[in-house]
Amino acid sequence: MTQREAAKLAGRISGDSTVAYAWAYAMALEGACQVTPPTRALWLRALLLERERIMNHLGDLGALGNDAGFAFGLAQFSRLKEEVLRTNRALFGHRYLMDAVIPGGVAHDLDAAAKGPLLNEIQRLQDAVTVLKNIYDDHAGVQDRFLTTGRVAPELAARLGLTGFAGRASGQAWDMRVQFPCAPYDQLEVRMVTHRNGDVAARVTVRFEEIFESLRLCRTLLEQLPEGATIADLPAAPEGAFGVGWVEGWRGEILVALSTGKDHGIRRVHAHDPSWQNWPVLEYAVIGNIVPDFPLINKSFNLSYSGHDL
Amino acid sequence: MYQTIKQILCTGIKTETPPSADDALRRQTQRLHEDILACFGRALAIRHVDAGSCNGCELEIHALSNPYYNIEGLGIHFVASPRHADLLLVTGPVSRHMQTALQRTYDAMPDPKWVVAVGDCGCNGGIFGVSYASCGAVSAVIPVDVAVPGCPPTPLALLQGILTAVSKERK
Ligand code: SF4
Repeated sequence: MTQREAAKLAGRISGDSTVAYAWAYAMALEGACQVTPPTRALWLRALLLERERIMNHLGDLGALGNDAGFAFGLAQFSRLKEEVLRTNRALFGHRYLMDAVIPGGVAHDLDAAAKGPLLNEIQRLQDAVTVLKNIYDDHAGVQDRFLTTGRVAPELAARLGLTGFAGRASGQAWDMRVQFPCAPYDQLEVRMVTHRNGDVAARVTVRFEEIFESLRLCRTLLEQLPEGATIADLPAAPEGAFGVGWVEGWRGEILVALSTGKDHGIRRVHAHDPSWQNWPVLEYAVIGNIVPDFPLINKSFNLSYSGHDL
Repeated sequence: MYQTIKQILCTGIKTETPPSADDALRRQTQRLHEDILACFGRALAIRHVDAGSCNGCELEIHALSNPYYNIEGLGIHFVASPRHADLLLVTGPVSRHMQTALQRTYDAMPDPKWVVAVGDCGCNGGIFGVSYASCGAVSAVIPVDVAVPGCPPTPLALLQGILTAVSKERK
């Protein structure tokens, strides 16, 4: 498998994080080849990554409502998610944005005419999610199931290295877009969302707030999108070159380390999924909770099987 | 409560018309008599097994339940045990770890039963192919009635595959 073909495989390590993996892999390969993609390509990658984050949080917030016996939540959020997926298909060629990020840049440029509809979609989502957040917050039954359920105290989270939004909901203030920003995040001033309660309710709050923050980022990315090329040529990397890529995916930090082999091949590659740290913490989170709360706690983390079990 | 009802009314009904069956997806000739199919077509229980997928196909299976596709509105629902299932929906290349589990799930299902293989991985192993860790296509492990290509297949393609499995074959 060549370095380029492997980009497709990287995007299929965990399908729900395909943008994050494809970007981390591309960053690692670009590092090994010593190439920087055009600025426009990097901004478009960030737009895709934030859409991936929004899409996954929408889906899980719906499922969390459903697991708390509030089917209305599932119907509403899954409708919003489907609408985001359809826009993805129309503008970026794939519902889940698979193969949209490629080594050297991005596969599709964004039409100038698409900017208006995308900004409208952001506003529509902002309004709809605000209404739904108020409904969740005011629903006594839902809050009763969410509050104090599946609690991971900040001390435990720190000891076991809980990462990503689940970590941030347990007081672990780490977000690679903030502490180790790659372009364009170094210019976006991402506002990190944290909480200290570490229960399902805290993870739900963090997810809601991250949707709002991602919508704000998408708006900035669209309004200030630089002009220019969307792909750079990748020269052949010499054998034994090394590169690393890191991306804050929706679930948490994703890292790809790669060393090149002969004839555009790969000698070794390691892809790291946040689920690797978080699965053992889930085992602690369920202790002392009633059985019907297991699905709820599980969904509030929504860890990846395929990303973990490489 | 007022907000919830208002939101439901403002959203309206989003469900779209389901696709019709497509014989091109068939891997085996239809084994069941028309009268039986008429019943199954209206109350179908599906067991889903992830035999090693990247979870992309699962996302589209979940999308089938959203208001746009409204699979439950067609009388099709997902069940938690193969003993309750009429149709087995398999995603992913079959990883060697899941080979026995998949075979046992199939054996545990009562007859008559169908198998629908999902995605490029389920059809032929996809990008993962056959290796020390992967058996490749679902049909390498259990008999497959209908295979739905795509990476992942869209919800419409999935629905079409499922409906093809339980519909009468056009001669
Ligand atoms: S067909 Fe594509 S989306 Fe489905 S499991 Fe395989 S790689 Fe993932």
